[in-house]
Amino acid sequence: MAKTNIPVVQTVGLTKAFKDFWRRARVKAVTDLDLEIRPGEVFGLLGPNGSGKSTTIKIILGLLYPTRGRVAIFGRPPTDVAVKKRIGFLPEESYLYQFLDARETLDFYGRLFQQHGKVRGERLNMLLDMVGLQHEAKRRVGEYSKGMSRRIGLAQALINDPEFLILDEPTSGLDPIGTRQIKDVIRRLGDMGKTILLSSHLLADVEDVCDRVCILYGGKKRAEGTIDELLARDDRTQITTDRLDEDTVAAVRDVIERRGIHDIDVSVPRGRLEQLFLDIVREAQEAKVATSGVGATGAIPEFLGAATSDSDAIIRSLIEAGGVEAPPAPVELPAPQPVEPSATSQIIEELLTTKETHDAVPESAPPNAESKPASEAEPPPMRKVEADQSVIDDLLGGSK
Amino acid sequence: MGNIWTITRHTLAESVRQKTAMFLVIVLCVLVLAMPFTARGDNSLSGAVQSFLSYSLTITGFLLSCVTIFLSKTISDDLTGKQILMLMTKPIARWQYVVGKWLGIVLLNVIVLTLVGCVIYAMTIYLAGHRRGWYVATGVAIALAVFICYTLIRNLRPVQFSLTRWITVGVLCAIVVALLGGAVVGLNRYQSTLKPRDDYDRDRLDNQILQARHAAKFKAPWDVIRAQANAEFDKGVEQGKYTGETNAPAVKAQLFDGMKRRWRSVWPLESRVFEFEDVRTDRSPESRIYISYRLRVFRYPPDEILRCVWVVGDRSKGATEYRIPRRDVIDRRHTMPVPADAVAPDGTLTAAFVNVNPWVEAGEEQADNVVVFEGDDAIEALFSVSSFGTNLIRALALVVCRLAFLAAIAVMLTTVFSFPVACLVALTAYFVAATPSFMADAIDWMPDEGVISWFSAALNNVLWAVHAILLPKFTAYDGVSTLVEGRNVTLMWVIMAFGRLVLIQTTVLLLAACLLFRKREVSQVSF
Repeated sequence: MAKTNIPVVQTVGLTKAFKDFWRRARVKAVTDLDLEIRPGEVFGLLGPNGSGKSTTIKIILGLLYPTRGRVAIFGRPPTDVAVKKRIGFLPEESYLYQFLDARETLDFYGRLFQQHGKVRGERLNMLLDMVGLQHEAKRRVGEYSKGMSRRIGLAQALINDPEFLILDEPTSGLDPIGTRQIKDVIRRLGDMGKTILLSSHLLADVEDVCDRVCILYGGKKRAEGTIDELLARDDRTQITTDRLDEDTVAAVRDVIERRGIHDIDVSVPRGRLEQLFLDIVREAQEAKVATSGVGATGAIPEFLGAATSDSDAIIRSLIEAGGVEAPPAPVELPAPQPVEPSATSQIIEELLTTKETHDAVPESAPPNAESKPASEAEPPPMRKVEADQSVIDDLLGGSK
Repeated sequence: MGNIWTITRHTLAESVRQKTAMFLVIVLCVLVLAMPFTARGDNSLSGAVQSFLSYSLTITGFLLSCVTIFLSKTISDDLTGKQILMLMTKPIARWQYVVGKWLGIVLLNVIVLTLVGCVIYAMTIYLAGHRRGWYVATGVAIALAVFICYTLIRNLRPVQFSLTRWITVGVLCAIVVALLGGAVVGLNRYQSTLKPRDDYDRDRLDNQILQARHAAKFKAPWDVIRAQANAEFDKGVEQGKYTGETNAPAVKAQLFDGMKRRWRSVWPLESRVFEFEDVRTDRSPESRIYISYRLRVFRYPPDEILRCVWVVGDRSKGATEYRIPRRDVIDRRHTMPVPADAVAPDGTLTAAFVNVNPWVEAGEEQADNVVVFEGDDAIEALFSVSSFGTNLIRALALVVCRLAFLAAIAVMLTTVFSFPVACLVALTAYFVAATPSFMADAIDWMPDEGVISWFSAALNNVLWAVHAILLPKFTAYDGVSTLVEGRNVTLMWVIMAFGRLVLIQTTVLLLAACLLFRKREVSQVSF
């Protein structure tokens, strides 16, 4: 990346109000948003439904015009056609031409990049291969399942070998293998020095691949920073060594109690991004922050057969059934409390993604098999899978 | 340019895949093929050919206009289906998208028109009984159809044909061939019943309809008459008829008008000489030129027939003189064939109208009547300058110009409004443009006096501007009736239509469309 000094995307005081026919502002989708995406980083945009993620992305792409504020992409206005040569975009749904087949779709987009026949053909085959649609390439896109269209969507976003890739909820509608593939692709492209802007509900995805994240609620930035920064626990210290026998542990404890030991790897422990996300959203909801998106969700209506209860109680009971400690009550930033990776999140994650590495595991995690490094901790046994899903949905504000 | 072409291709592919194009071609071909059976005209062969030409071309123009407006749906589809989100994040400028879409619509029209034009040509020649021409034209039409299908299939749908597909295509082809064969057999039977009624019918068909004839206007001696009027005025002044208080220009104009009217009317036993210049013909006695005229009279004779004599050709200029006695129905246009050697070597043609009854001794009575040649087209000399085929191509080119303009209107509207709204507005614009100028009349009628006069005047100007840009008179660019009358659709006309409709109006509309589309937030759907 040659021009490392220019941020790939910079927004200053970005505001977008959707107006009605009489020019009255109906909805404020984004308010005073300052963002800076630097070259080579994988940037995550998080937020519940309607928090302004897609609007922000569309403004960055010049599909919407800001009501106030400035946007620059590669230092140019988003309407600049030349800038688009360096961008790849996967919208929240793959809006494809139903009457084209996969190959023609990619061919069409390739032509718009003025790619010449042979180059285009080669790239096309490689991309079709990558997304696993080589054998379905002659079918019309209209016949494709959602996941298949997502794959074509990803392929078209990569057809110009973009420096900057914008992925709006890339894993929605994909099966676990597809999700895994997308994450792999993101990570690999990130390693190759590409800049990636990612918006997703699937927090695990974001946590796994993003260098930096920004959490939006009600069109406003609630938190921004690297994952490590955001999840840093100032009030805790994590000590990682080889497995120690009980005597040593006792000795270490003893030593620590007396202080002064240096040959110990001391690192900052991390909580789960999901917990942080939930905390931020809950805090915002409690502070009655205005949002045009999904607000706090209520109890399940009685006619659906649910006993009247608040969602907290449901969670508590479910989590207790899951055999792990209950998550703590909502906490305030920036002093979160130590938490267990909640069973629910791990189960969901297990369902939606194939097993992924978790950078760190809190001390009180269940003991692991000796051969496995701590970073590949097994989640607790799965139980109450269906119920857990609904609970998460509830917490996320009906995000699925 | 590459991007525009990509969008154009894509739009074409879309219309082909979504069967719009197929529907068009099939409906038009069926209509055109069925037309000769229904359009019989006045039971003469020339009448049948004329009504076939007239109906088929009008219907083609109308249907293509509607389809053009409908095809602008491709833009609103992109907007509502949000494909535009992916498209506009590619390096393509908004104007390229708009122009590409417009070009796609126009190109589809051109392709369909070319095909239908070939079919119309083939059918016309066939009906007229020119077998050889028919074979050629049909061959061209089929070759063209095959070429178009091949190009479309090859370029727009690179499918590897499987056996079942081959069979399906084969069966479809067989059906089409059978249909065509049936049509040809039916036509053959029908054609055998369609013989020219008489020699006149044959001559009319070959020399007056399937021709492109130029209509030369007579050389009016207005300069001489004006000089006479001025002299008359001067004489009047000398005689003291006019004093210094008289409004000299007005009186002169009045005198000129009166003398003009006098020249246009031919009194009993009078004659009037009309001169035509630059009549291009081979001057062989076998070939014909035509004098077309319309007579008006002060008093209708009981049988409404005027008897008169034409003397055509000036011997003093080296032309052969022909005396042609006529019995003509009053107030109708008549076409009188004259051997081409009546034209002088320098290309002038003299035709004298003599207001006498040559049959008076045979007992055909005729009241003395004053005959009036009203208007500049009261008498014309028609001579062939070009062929029917060229004429048809030019008439179709006029249709293309109109369609290009309509496509621009429709495209502009769809960049702003949702499809139903845009479609309705465009259709309204089309009907207003296609019907005689009642809209212009309505604007003219607006009151220009009283309290609201200033407002009315301002509104008038605005409306005129809108009217001039958005609603040109399509009737002024309709070559069908000219073609059907066997008159030349001039190249100048086509160029004018192209200049006004395409170069000016379409450009203005497309420019507006591009600007509006640039302003537009494409991820917002309009209602």
